[in-house]
Amino acid sequence: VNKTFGDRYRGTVGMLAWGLHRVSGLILTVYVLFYIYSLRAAQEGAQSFNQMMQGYQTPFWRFMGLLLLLMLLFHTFTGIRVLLFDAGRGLGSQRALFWIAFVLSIAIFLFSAVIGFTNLPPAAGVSR
Amino acid sequence: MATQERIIDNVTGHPQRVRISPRSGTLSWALQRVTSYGLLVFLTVHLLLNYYVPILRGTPLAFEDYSQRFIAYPIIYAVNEWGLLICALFHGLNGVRNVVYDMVTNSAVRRIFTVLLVVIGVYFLVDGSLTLLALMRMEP
Repeated sequence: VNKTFGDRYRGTVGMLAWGLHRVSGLILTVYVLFYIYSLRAAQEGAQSFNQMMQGYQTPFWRFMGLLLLLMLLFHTFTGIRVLLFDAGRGLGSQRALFWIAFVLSIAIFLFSAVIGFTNLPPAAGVSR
Repeated sequence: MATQERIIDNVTGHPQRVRISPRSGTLSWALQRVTSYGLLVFLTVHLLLNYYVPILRGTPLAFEDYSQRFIAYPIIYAVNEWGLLICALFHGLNGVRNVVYDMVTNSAVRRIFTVLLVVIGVYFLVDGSLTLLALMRMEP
């Protein structure tokens, strides 16, 4: 076994940050392609576009939207953490920065979930 | 630019010979940073207008809302939406390529994946542009 490898990886939070950043990035890429594909309804006219947007108002899709928002927020804040390291900043506080990114994404996610499920009229989620 | 050979000692702590190829991925790395800065701006604007505004007013966004925005802010909104399309596609697909390059060392397989991802990117760039033109009511 490479001695350097054993010296460096001690199961800290850095590997977790790297892995979660990757997985969330891959899921978000699949979502972006799916989203652009579904938006092509606009090419068939206003009516099919509005029908498609209405379809995303079901509880299932609102829940999926919030999950994607959580992944996007986490990917964004851990990404900013990576950009800081590239600029040579924050290298001494990588673990703290991971937890700051984690808490920030959870906080904005919870805020969005609360306004998402309190501000909509109850009928909008089922039918209109 | 030819392949350079250098001795480095700042990675493992021991001197080692490395070959630095002109195709070492610097451009891919740099563009991944550039598009990430683009996404920070474009996606924030996009989410505020298209995710939080509909949530706050309680109705989903309609076709007419988009068209009116393109009329009200023709340049800035088009720049934002096309910038988002380009940055999101490049950042996402180049990210997939980074994962493939970490997992596969066979250069033929790498090239197949790169070509495949470029084809996917061009297809969705054209498709997304046609969608944006339709939303601007400017069908070609």
